[in-house]
Amino acid sequence: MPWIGESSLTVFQKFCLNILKCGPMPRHIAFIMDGNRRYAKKKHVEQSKGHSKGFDKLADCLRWCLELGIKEATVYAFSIENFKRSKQEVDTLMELARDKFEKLFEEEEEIMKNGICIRVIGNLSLLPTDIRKLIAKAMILTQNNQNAILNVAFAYTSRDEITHSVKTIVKAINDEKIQRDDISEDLISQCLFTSLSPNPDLLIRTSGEWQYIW
Amino acid sequence: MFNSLFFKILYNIIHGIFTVLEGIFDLLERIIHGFVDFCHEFCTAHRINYLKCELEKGNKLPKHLTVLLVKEKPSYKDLSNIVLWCIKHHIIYLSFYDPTESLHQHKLEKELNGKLKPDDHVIWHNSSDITYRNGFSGRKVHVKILKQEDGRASVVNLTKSLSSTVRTKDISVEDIDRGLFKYFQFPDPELGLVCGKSLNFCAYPPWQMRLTEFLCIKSHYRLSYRTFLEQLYRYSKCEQRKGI
Repeated sequence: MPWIGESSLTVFQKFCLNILKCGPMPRHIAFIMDGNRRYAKKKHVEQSKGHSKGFDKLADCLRWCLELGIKEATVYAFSIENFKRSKQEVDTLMELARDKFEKLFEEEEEIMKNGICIRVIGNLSLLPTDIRKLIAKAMILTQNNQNAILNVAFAYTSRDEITHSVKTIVKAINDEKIQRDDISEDLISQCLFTSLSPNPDLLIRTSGEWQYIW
Repeated sequence: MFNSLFFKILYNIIHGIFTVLEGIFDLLERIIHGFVDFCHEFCTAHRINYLKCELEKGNKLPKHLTVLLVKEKPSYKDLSNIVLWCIKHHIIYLSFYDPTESLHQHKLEKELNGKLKPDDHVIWHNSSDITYRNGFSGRKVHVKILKQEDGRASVVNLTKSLSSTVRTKDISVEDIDRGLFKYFQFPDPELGLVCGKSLNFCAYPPWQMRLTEFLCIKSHYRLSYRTFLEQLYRYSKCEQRKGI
């Protein structure tokens, strides 16, 4: 399954899409991928299969975003808290990530043609070196693309991101690069991993649960 | 050109039909609600008993309940009901998030006067006066009105104070958590009731909301005891794996 799903819209769906586009459209949609394991349990398949199915569905969603002309999508793929899961499952998830990032380069042509910029946000120092290298390579490859932006939150939590931002600012003050009075909400936002993105207009959490930020 | 005009017209027609239908459904719902209120005693007593029973059995209640008024102007009568229900169900912390800053503590205090039983205490966390927080016997609830500045602005303040005291760059998530707790005073909310048709957080304090279960109540106006219990029940059934 590729990163950006195949276009498979029926004539009627395309028709509806054209109508939808006449109304207000979100600029930025965020997805929280949840329920992969419950899906696997329900279908009596292995957990890893649930995760990879989840990725496939995500690829569909990203294709739909492209078709709707939505410029930016953020995907919460892996939380720092997820490291607390069993070693076996964490390893499986890392293997899936490795596999998917490697695949990305096989689809280089398609991604560059669509002008997709990929940014991975999170505490990347927690990841194995080879995955970090793959992520860096993918980000550098696509950094100048401007048609659409895909943020992947990997080894991410909101608290870690806010802490990172505060640390950056405190360090800048210690280094006397900025003044204490320069600290503002805007400055904190600008130091977040997501500083380049507008706030998401829509948040989609699969699986029907209601907690939001991890 | 012709094509886009065609789609535009279609969009407006569908949008129009939807708006009309939505209006009709809202009206119907209000009529039904009015009717249910009318025969309240007969219809809901059974359900309320069931919910109470289940809640006692389940034993999972939020320690901190937060109500997001979003854009609604406060109805003091309904808000005071929420305070009383929290006392009744031993929810110790209650906060009202009021981004429009139209909720006044003294008006809510006034509304509560006379409704509280002699042994029940409401401990307000907004006044600078902190001497009265301990030493109450009987049932009590801590109440706080949250404003927008209690969220992001407190992160700004904390950063400022860290920048003048901390020389090393070793600031951990726990340091910030401890620092923000001094401003927030309450534990992180477990359950949030959002007034409105869709979930809109209106810049709710970002640090504290990571594990909050947000549930929609359409409005806090004429919020019934039964609806309140239904939300608690829904919360008690939630499975939280916390990423594990």
